[in-house]
Amino acid sequence: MSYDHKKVDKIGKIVVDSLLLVLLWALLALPASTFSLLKLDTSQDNVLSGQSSQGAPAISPYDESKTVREPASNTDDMTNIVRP
Amino acid sequence: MISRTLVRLIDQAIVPAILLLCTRFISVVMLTYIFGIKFSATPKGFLFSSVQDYIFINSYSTLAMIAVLATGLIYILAKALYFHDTHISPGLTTKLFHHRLATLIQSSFELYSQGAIWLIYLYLISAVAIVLSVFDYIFPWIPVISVVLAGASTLLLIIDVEKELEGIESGYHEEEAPTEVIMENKNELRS
Repeated sequence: MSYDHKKVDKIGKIVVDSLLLVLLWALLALPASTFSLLKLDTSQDNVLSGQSSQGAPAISPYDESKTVREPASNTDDMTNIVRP
Repeated sequence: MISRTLVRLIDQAIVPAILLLCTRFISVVMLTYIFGIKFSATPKGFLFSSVQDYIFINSYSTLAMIAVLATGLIYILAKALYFHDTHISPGLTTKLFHHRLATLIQSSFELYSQGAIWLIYLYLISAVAIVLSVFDYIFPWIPVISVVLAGASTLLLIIDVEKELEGIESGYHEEEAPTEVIMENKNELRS
């Protein structure tokens, strides 16, 4: 079985060039990727939006069924607490 | 030929990449330490509890990266404009050799590959900074500085390329002149 060495050489060159291009792109994108290193702690935002950090709804100590907000008569009694 | 250029570009891209990464880390740590900003270092990255602190640190660490890129580009552009081997003056060459600074004299291939890599980094940082400023994650004047610097650097590099082309053209004409003289002399002899 004979191989066309010129053809193999050409394919090899294309493979090497494309690998080098990928490497170059990786190097160029490396400093820009550091922007994702700084992050905001979103757990506080979740509490504001009615979600705790675990994803469970935050429990309101107020009876929201009333127009004027008043503290629930008995906060220990879980039946009075209205979930959003 | 393509492989040679690519290898050269990769070779030139390693140092600024490491430099920029170090700048980012060091600037974040130093800024949080100097201004007493609280953050938590997690495996995912630096976590900030306040939006203001996040924007402040993000902006000034980006500015530090831009400053490092600007310093590198100024050095490369100075080499390209004043110490380029194609258009350096003989007097300056003598002075550089006298002070043992001959390494400052570089070829077009070395200078343009360096310049291209550092410019690409500056353009990439500018692009990311623009996107971040659109979403208010960074001060809006940061991408402005970055884009202005990138534009000015590109302009200066183009000026150097023009100088290079002028040098090639004048060299070409100088090479042509003696052949013309020889041809004229031959014609005179024939007549």
